[in-house]
Amino acid sequence: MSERINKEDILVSVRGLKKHFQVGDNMLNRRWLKAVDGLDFDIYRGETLGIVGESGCGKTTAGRTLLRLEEPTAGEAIFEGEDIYSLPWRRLKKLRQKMQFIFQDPFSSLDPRLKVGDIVSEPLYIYGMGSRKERWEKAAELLRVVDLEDYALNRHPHQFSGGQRQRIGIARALAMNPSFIVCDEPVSSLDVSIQAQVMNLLQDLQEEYRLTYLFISHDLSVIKHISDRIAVMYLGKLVELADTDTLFEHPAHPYTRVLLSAIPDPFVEKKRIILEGDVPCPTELPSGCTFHERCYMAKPICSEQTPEFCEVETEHFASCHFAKKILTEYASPIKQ
Amino acid sequence: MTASGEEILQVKDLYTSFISRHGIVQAVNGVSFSLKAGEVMAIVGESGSGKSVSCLSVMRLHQPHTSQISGEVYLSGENLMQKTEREMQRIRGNKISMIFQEPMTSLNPVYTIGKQLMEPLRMHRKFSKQKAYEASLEILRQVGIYPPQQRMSEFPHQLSGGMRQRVMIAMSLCCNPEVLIADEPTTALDVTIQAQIMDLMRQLTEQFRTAIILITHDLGLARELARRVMVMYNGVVVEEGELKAMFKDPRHPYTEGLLNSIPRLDQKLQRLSIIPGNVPGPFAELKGCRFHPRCRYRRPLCEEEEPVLTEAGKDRRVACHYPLGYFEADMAGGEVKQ
Repeated sequence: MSERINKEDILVSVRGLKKHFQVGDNMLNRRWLKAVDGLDFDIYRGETLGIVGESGCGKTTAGRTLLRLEEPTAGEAIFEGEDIYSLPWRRLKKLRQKMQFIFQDPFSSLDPRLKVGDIVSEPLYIYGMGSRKERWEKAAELLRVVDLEDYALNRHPHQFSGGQRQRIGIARALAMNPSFIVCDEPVSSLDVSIQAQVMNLLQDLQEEYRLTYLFISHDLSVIKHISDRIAVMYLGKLVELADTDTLFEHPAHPYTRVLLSAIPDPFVEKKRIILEGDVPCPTELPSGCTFHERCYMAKPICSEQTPEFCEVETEHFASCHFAKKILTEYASPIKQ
Repeated sequence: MTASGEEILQVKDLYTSFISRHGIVQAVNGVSFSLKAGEVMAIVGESGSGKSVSCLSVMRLHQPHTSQISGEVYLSGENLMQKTEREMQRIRGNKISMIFQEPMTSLNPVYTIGKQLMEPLRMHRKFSKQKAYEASLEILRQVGIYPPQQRMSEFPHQLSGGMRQRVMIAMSLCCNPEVLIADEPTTALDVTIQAQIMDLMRQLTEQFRTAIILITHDLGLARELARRVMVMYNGVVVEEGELKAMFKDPRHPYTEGLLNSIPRLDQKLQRLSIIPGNVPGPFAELKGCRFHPRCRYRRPLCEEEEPVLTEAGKDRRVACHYPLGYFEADMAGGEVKQ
């Protein structure tokens, strides 16, 4: 696994990424929803960076904004030496060939009125490559890569199962030979046996085409299996970032510890930490550390000062006032 | 026939089929199980395996003119299949109740939480308005909804997903049912909220000795709550038994496949092992064992004859001609029993 990743070679570098949405329909109740509120991370070439968090924490918005499917409010993202956010449209389109997206819902992300051949070859059509016949030949080739038969070309999406549709979405993402793919919950809607098939396929493709993934999921066991490093998000911010083993063996943020203890696993006995309450409303964020209201370790300082997202040990970042203390004093809730 | 001992719910040879435009769909094919007071049983399986349909059939919640149900369902000795619709209405929500999959869509958006919570109490228990109100407040407190007075006058859209699911649980528990069917109760919720709900359900079984059927596709969740588990595939039960023993040592190739295809937290795996192929569609005509096209241990007999659920070891039943363990005996040249 380590040969695949070259830590000298940073493919994407994100600094201060923010995406705020305006909510409320008139001037009186207009508020800002800080979906993504200052992300800093690098993605090394060839690695899989997992982003995990609960619903509404901004994972998907982060992925979409990173590829500029949404205009960011602030921040920069350097991809192969160019800032995605300051590029003019024409150059961005060119750069986008190398960055692709696999969507969450295989039922709504494929046009029901197009044939699969047209869906998979649409990126080639957009970039004006080849004749229709050539594009379809390429599409057939891509479908074989994702283990679908040639007859799929002439069918419509509704004739396929969820797993097969997700494969079609993957084939489409591969059409332009990208180097970077954002996978937004690609296996969440699939049954476990199919989920395993799709995850194996994604790993094989990574080996074969030297792909770099940003893998977004709410499922920690999926994230653990596929990622080299994991970033944990809570309410628009990163709370912890470390390589997979470090994060599972000695998490430094209380929220990560809660998440780890909450995963139902058929094989592992765990010590549970049950949280009080719900995720706060994202338009009215608590002061200080956004997690302090639910945190079982909160001290007065937590509601006053926002903790910095800083390196607590080599290559291990966390934003908690007590990160160092947790690292030294507490064991992981998961027994390895 | 009456239920023996403590057994509260007994289901025998349940068959459910639906009549659709494209033909008849056999959704449940001969499911039998029984449940004791205070026991939690999980039904696990992939989508389309008939988990939800068999439980909806137990409650007779299918449209009578598009579905056919046969079999016997005994709830504390009474056969539910012979009840009239009026009698069923008195049983549903009272003796046997259900938590539905989506808390967003199964609460009525135009009534307040209070009205919906009080309805079963007023109907089944004949409580006065005042008494029902107080009982509802109490049950909201028990499921951890604060402040209950305020929440009673709110509408479902004003509550978060986790709170709506708690209200659903409160509703299904307010008449102290003997059996509670929880159909994917936490699928739409986040892990931290899921942990809260599971914790709540565990407390309730201990407190009221309610028997719970937990329908889920998540094997981890099954382990959290259930002691017994039933694995379904394509409308039949393929394996049944004590949960921890089964997860450690599955006998049916499908159970083994399911367990192996989940990413493990306690191990580092390069690749997940997979079950090849897809879940068969509703109109797939399968001869022999329903799992044989995807089974890596299949033998000629599997294509010919459908295996029946038989005892395989202590507290374990399995529907397979060659339950796992058979092969080891075969390889070692040991005694092979069929």
